[in-house]
Amino acid sequence: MKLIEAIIKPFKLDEVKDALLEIGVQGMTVTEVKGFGRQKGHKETYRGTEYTIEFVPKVKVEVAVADSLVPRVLETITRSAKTGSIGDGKIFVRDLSAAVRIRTGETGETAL
Amino acid sequence: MAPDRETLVGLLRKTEGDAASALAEHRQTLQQRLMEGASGAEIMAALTEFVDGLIVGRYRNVMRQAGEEAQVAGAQHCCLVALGGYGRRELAPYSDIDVMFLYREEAGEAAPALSREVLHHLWDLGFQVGHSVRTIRDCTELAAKDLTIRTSMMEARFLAGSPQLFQEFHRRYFRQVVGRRTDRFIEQKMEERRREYEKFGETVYLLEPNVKKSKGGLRDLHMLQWAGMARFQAATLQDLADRGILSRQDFLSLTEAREFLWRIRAFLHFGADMAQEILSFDEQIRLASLYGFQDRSHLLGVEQFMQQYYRHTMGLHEISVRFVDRCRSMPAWRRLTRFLPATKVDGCFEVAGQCLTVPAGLRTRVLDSPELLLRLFEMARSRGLKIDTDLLDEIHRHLDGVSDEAFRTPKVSRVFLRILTGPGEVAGTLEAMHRAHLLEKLIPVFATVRGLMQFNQYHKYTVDEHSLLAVAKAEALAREPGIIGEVCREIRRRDLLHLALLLHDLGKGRDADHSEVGKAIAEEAAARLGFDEQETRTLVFLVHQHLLMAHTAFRRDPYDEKVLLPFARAVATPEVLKKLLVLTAADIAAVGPGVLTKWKESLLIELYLRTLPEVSGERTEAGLDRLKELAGEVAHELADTEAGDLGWIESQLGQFPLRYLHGTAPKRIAAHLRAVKRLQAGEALVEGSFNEERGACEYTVITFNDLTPGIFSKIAGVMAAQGLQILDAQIITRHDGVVVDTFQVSDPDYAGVPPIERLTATAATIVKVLKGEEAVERLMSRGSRLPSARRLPTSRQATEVQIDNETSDRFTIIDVFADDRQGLLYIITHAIFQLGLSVHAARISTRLDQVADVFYVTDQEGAKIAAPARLETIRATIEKEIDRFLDQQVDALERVSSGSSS
Repeated sequence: MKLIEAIIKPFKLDEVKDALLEIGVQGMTVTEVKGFGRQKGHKETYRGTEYTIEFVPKVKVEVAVADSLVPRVLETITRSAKTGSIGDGKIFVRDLSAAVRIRTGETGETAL
Repeated sequence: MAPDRETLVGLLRKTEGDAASALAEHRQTLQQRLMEGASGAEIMAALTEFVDGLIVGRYRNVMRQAGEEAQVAGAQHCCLVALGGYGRRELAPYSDIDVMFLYREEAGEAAPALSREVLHHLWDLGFQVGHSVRTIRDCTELAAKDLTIRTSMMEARFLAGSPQLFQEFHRRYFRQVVGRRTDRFIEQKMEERRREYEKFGETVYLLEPNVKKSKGGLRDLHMLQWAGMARFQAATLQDLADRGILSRQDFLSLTEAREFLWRIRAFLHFGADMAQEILSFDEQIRLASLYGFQDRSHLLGVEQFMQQYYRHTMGLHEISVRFVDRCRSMPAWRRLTRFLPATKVDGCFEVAGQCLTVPAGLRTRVLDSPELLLRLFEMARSRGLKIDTDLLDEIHRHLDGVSDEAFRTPKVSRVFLRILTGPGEVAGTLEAMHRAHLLEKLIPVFATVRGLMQFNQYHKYTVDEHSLLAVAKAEALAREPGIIGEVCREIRRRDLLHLALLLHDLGKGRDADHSEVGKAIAEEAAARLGFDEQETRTLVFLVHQHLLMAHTAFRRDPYDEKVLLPFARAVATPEVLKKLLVLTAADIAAVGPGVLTKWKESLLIELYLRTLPEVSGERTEAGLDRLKELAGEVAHELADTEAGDLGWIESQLGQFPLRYLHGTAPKRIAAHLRAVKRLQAGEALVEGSFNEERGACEYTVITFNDLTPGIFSKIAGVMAAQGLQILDAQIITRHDGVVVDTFQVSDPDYAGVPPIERLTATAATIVKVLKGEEAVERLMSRGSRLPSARRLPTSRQATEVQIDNETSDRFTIIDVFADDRQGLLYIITHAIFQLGLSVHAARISTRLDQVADVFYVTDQEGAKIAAPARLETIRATIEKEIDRFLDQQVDALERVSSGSSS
């Protein structure tokens, strides 16, 4: 099992969500996050005052999936979250050692 | 013969088992009675009586089985006392039971033994028991240290044992504790309650309230009773009413509200089989249907039920606050100001301390005059005073019989707008007006959303509370640092912003989409308040489109021109954009605590900063960085040809309005600059090309604006004469007078790419006309054609010309909406030219068969047009010219078609 963590542009959330549901992802966790990558932050000047925008608003989508689904999930997120301009985001994949569905106590891939 | 120990235990177990099942059975009977319509009071009385029976019976049993010595002690030196809610006989089905075992030292060893026996029994029954074993002295000492204990013992009630002991306790407790340091007690209780509000909800209008602890819950009633007991030694509401301390009307409202809450609480307890006091969405639905509320077309049953809930709790809360306030003795300054003559202000009003009121002799006069009433609130707003709560109630009672038509006068509207404008406590004043039922006389729809819940998991407050809170949030934003705060402070006409916030959600509770209903409500409000066209348009837009900015910022890409431009076009002006930004932020903030996050703020700000240059068309400091960046890009484009140095490019770019710099590709800018460099005085450079991607011809005209008056109109005339259809035009007049106009045109004469001669001929004609070598009128008559082969719709859309003089400091803006016909732009621009105006910028756009054109104009001296009469002439003239032209076209077409058919 893998935990896939995608940092994407906020307005891409609906598209990514729909695309993931379509390929059979069962659930996801979504968080409003801020941060920066190579894009860095930037400065906004308004009426002569400079405001530093160090962290850019993004959305973090987390999905836990069976190993077999990983390539499709990566492909799907990459395709649906892409605008082609700077700041489209990143995807991180980590190993997932266990999963439990709290209500039933099921474990492993059946709990996903 | 005494039973042996084992059988005794067995026997006890048995009776306990019996008692437990008797209690369960009794609860079941009570639940049945409740379902059949028994009141909350009945249920509580029955349960209290039942529990009393159990406990008293147990006490007697224990006594009977004890030794003789213990029996004497139990009868003379001990007693069992009910405390807190149990003391008040207000046991809900699963309430805790609070009992105290009171004893004298003389009871000796018997006291702890007896108390243990009785209390253990209660635990075994499954009650949550709060218990204590105290002497009278313990009681008074503990009361001094612990506020909760002090309060619970105020409601002590005798259960069993020595009545004399209880009476002694009661007498001493009231003399030594209750009547002492009353002020401090009330202060402390208020502080305690305030902390509870923080935890359980600052407002009555919570969507899932706690019937006991939220604002307006039973605890507020207890507060009133405690304060009354401490100040007046009156034990019950009835007492307070009999002694005239509580008005008859308040007494009735309180008992009604109390019964309402009691009954709901009984349902909640039974429903959850535990002391559940939160009126959750699920329970609301269940109770609404149990109470027989039916869904109506515009209001769910559950919403009607909750409206009743809020009415009761709001009433209870208000009465409680007022009463408790009266129970406090006056602080020194208030005592002093009481003897000072109250300051009279404005003839009718009186200020005492922080309180604004109307002297008795003048009340009728003020109550009968809508204008004076409004001025009362306006004075409270401008001087930061609170209006006397009794007066608010009196206004409310009085207004019940007054029609809202009485408030539809220009004078009243003017004062109302002053209240809305602020500064000061705008939201606080509106809230007081809402409490006095005055707000709904000015905005009648407000009455329908009083306590109207929003049945979703997102909102935390009812519609009226949310609307008022939104105004408060907008005021709060204006005090904050950062871009939103800055924008907030820049807003002109705050009254429009605040009014839009008040109205934005009033369309809820109807069948139709609430934004659409809101639009009609805004139109109606604007008419009532006598708004002019401009004010009306702004208000209606803000209410109708109050979700637009949130949707765009959170769900769309602000760097996508296809997103940004339509949004900018919808917003249209910097003022409206600013108001919409603040309205959006305040609306989100008023949904609940913590809903407006920095994350959401930054997305809104990003969209705002991206849109501002689009709508302002003017330079902002923000553009300077972008300008440098752009200069670099343009230099790169120019590099291979005449390498202009960076300084020159920068100064050239500085001449353009920001709108141009934002919307034009560096490559095109480079091409324009090359032309500008070539341009000689008295010359015009025109270039035509075909844009494959758009399938349209593009003409760029570069000249000086003093070459000839009415440049735009002349170019439009040439296009019309050539049979070209203008799809899009960008009119740029640089600060140094260089004109850079681009036109996207379609050429109906050629499908696909027109021959090069066509492009050069058109370009040459434009040059001739601009240089005065050819008259546009002659061209027009020579090139006159039959109305195009394009199908014309049989009915025309109404032509609309609007003048916007508020948005821009430098320009008067003319918006034109009309059916699109070939040559129409010439007619419009010609009319503008004939009116002696010059066009500095324009955005021409065609949607299907309609044009939506915007012209930024000044008079020949470069000033905005100020005189209202002149503005009206301009508007009417353009509209008339357009209509005449369009009618001619239709006539001509009819002549053609009838000619061909005959």
